[in-house]
Order: sequence, then C-alpha cells, then structure tokens
Amino acid sequence: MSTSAGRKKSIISTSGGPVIDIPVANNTLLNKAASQSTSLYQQCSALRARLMRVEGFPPYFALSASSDAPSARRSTDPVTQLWDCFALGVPLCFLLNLLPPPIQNVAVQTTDFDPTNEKTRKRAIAQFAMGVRQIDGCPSFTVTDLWDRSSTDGFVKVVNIVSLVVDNIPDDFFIESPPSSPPTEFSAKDSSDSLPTEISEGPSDKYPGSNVTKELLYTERKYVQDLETMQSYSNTLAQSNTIDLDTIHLLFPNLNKLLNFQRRFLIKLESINELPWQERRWGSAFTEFEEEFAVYESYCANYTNASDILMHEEHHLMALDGMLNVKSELPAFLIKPVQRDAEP
Amino acid sequence: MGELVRKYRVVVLGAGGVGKSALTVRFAQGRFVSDYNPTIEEEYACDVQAEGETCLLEIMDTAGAEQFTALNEVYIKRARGFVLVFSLTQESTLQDVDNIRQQIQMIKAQEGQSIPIVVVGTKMDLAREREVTRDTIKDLAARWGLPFYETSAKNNWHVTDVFHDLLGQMRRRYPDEPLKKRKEKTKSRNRIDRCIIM
Repeated sequence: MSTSAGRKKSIISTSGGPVIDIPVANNTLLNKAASQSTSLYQQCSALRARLMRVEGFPPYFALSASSDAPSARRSTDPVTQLWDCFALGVPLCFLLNLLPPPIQNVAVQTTDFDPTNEKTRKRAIAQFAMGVRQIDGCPSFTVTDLWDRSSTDGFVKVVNIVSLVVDNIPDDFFIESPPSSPPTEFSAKDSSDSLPTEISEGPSDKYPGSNVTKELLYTERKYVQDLETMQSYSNTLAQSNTIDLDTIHLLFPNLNKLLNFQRRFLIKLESINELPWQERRWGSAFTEFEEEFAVYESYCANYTNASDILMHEEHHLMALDGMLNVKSELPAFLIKPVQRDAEP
Repeated sequence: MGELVRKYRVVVLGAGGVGKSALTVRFAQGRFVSDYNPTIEEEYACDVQAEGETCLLEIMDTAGAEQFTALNEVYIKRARGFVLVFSLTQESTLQDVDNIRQQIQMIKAQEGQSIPIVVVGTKMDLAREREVTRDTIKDLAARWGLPFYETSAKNNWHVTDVFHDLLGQMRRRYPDEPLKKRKEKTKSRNRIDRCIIM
C-alpha cells in the first residue's frame, strides 16, 4: 500500500489518456469510517436477528435466558444473550445439523437435554468445534474459547464461525419475518443487511444532546476497530519472526487487555443506546467501568517507551508496511489510546 | 502484584482413561482425583518456578475418547509443549502416544527439530497390573529421542518432574515467549498498574 496514494503527482497513465489530478482523501485505515460489521455488538445483534428466523432455533434463546441456567446474567444485550445461548453447546449443533451434505451431522441430542449439565454442554461444544472443521476455510476454536468468560477474544472467534455456519444454512430453514415488520426484498441470508446500519436517526431521536451521544458512540466504535487493527498488526508481527515477542509486547503495552475492556465498554454503550432516549443513562457506563479504566495507566505510562521502540525497530517494521505504514500510520495508531483517554 | 511472567501453553494428550486429568490435577491443584469422569476439555493455570523465575503454565487437559481426537490438531497448533500420556498398565495406549507424537511432528514440522515433548507413563503404583516393561520404555525413549517418566498421581510420584522437564525444554526452545500480566483472582481496590516495563 502506498502512502502517497492520495497525493499522486504522476501524470503517467496506463491508458495513455490525460489524467486530471483530483485530490482524493487518503484511503488508509486511519481515515476509514467505522464499519458496522466488525463491532461485536452489531455483529451479535445481526446474528441474533438471523437466528430468530431460523426455524426451531428461538426456543434455545428462551432456554438460556431461563434463570436456572448456570450462566444467567442480569444483562440482556445481544452479546451476552448469544454467549449464554452458544455456551449451551447444543444450539450450535442444531445449527450445524441444518447444513446440507456433504457436511455430516453431529450426533447430539438437540432436544430434551439438560442445560445445567456442564458435561453435556461441553461435549456439544466440542462436537460443534469438530463439526465445523468440515467447512472450508472455517477457523478453528476450542471449548475454552467459548467457555472462558474472562476474555472476548475467543467469543469473537465463535461469533464469526457461527455467522459462517448460518450463511450456509439453506433458505428453506428460515421462516418469513413476522408480518408486523416491513416486507423485505432480501433473501434470508441477507437479512443482516436490512438492519439499521447507521445509528438510528429518526425524528424521535432528535432530543437534546443527541449529537453528542451519537458522536460518542460512533467514535467508540471506530476506536475499538482501530484497537483491533493494532491487535492484528501485533499478531502478524509476532508471526513474522522479525522482532522478538518481548519487544512487541513493549510496543503495544497491555493492548489485549485494553481491547477487551473497550469491547465490553462499547457493548454497554450500545445497549444504552437501544433504550428510549429518556431512559438512556450514559453516565452509568462510566461509573460501572470506572475501575477498569485503570488499564490505561500502563499503556500511557509506557507510551514514550513504545515510541522509542518504534523508531528503533523501524527498519524491521517496514516489512509490514502493507498493513500499517511504519512512518505515516503506525505512530498515529500507537497514540490513539492516549488520545482517547485524554478526551474530556 | 501486577508482576509480569512468561506464559507457556501446554497440552496433555493421550488415550482415554490413562489418567491425563489425574496427572494434571495432581500437578495443578495438588490433589488426587480417584473417580473417573471423562474430560471434554479443561484448562488449568499455575505458577511454576524455573531458575529463579516464575512462569505461568496454561495446561490444557483434553478428551482422550476417540470421538474427540479430531480436536487434537487444534490443540497441537496452539500449544508450545506436550505431555503425552499412556498407562503403564495398558500397553496398547503406547500406540496412541506414538500416533500423537507423529501428528505433532507433522503439524510442527516447520518449527524445526526440538519440539518440547515429555512422555509419561501413569499408574506406577499399580505394580501388579503393570504391562509396560522398563525395557520397552528404554527402547522407545532411545528410538523417539524423548524423555520418559513413570508416575503415580495417586502417590504423587515424579509428577512435578514431568512439568519441570517440559518447562525447561520450552524455555530453551522459546526463550522469547511474551511477558504477561498474571491473572489475579482477587482484585484489590487500590491496585495501581505501575509502569513495570523498563
């Protein structure tokens, strides 16, 4: 990726015709708008909507929501709902078994199972984890990825895998949308596209401060995506064997924990945003997570050090310029958490 | 508090019922599980001292049952070190160890020669039921070029040796594993994550 893409001075054109030099915004990751598809909350919300239309699936949501299930939590945001539901294991197998041949069904009893039995649930998760390996290009995961609630990284993987499975479910298994909702021209598979892709902006949403909160939510989404970009950069760097892992850790101090916290914080903001505006208590997100903001301390404290490492390792990092340019992009990413934290 | 440690991922593999969980739980929690309850997947984390440095071992205990062996590949890809378990009282379980050993070498082929592996014979206390002889073990150890340990989770014989040997191998093979902040079980209110990295 060339960094000067937007400032091209070249008048040499492969087509031979005259080229008019029009200024173009740099199409870099830095300038890219937050896309809906990669926010965990939005992804879960879309996936939940699709799953509600898979024939026979909705009862599993009810099952995981019933209070006697061990994982019953207070929150009803789509992330928690999907997590609780998937952690039952059996619903995952149910979905996999809807896939057409050559995908082989997994032998799991999908009705009348005991949702409180840990072994039953884990066995079903393991069966699903093995079953999805039949799907070309499907990433792998382990039971712990879904079972361990302390990190969202594993769950992000599972959501992607389940989305992939649902993509492959034949249309016949999707029931029509309830008549109350507007008719959709999309096929069942595209149903996620019909979800609002912008922050809702109806006339009822014009209330005092709406622009401020919209800005907050929008920039938080973008910020989480930027952190995800940094994480995948850091992972790629680790695999490239150009820099030792300790140095990578110093370059992105505490990044995984930071991302994990920000994901959960964003989920909270998103769920506040779903409420009628009179009930939105934005401050509660900050008071609830107050202590966790401490993850910023070590990031900020080590930022100067990270910048030094960046300069020192520049020649090594150049190998990954295709992902993030070491001169023009990476420094801007590195300072993002510091900037975000400093905002009033 | 907030101390940085090196984290190593270990996976325990072997046939069903050989005592993978008994071995793992004995090491990680210092107790003996006597009743048999087939594992699906269980993760344990524990601190281990090595040459004056504390390391965090993340030990993945797996299902030995045949129906789950398709997951082994996923475990092998993620782990740094391997504990291959067979039962001294059941010679056929050595075959599973051999299969897994070859699978590891295939998957980790690009990582070069020395993959940290320890082979463990369990149920050493059941001397009367023993099927695998010392000679068999000597012979295999030489052929595979791997360290073997005879253990008893019940009597806590040589269990820690297994994991210390493996940790030593991993530290030599992967000296640059990233430093991680140890997960803390209890959160203290006034804890400050200082700038520890210098």
